[in-house]
Amino acid sequence: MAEKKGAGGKPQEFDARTGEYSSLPSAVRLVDGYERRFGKKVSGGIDLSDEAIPRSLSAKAKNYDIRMPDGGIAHLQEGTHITNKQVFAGAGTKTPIRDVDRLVRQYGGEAHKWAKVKANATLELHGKPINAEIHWYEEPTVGKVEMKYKEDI
Amino acid sequence: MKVKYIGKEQMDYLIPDNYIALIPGKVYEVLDISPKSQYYRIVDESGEDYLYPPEFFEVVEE
Repeated sequence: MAEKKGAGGKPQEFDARTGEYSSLPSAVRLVDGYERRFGKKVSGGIDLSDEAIPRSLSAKAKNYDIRMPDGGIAHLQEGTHITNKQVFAGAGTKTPIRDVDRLVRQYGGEAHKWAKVKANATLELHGKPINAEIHWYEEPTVGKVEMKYKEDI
Repeated sequence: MKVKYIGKEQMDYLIPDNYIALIPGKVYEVLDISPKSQYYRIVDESGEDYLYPPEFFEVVEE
């Protein structure tokens, strides 16, 4: 590691991995980078990390039911991931969930912890894969409920 | 286009797995019609727009 003086006379270290100088010790940057790459992204208490849908004989039993517009049920395709999760209403946002009282009555949990989440996923419908945006409600102690197809992507 | 929900189901926590957030007899605005499925995109009682089959509705204004 090379060293030079940065703004305010603070010593800076050159990081060969990033090609940048930083006043932070390399060990801190490494830990931070590790967390950014492998740690959990959380918003309003909801884990927004990508989620794998396992391939296994029992995967169907663990898979989520996703309500399609015609009332039918689709499942997530095994071996794919739920990606780009975003909380867009409820916990951690400025947009309230209209239906939060019903969610608390029906599933429990605390009203201020319910979140409405959207994500991208690959669904399996009649044996064919569909890339779709899906929505659901989630509360940390309850989990995901009412997964619903939004649109093809 | 405006349509009236003529189904019997509504958002009701007593009905398991009922995710239809529409109120029977209520008129909804159709935002667009899915070119693929011909389903109506409607802002339902959840406040979000979702697709619903046209047979759920009666057209009240073209």
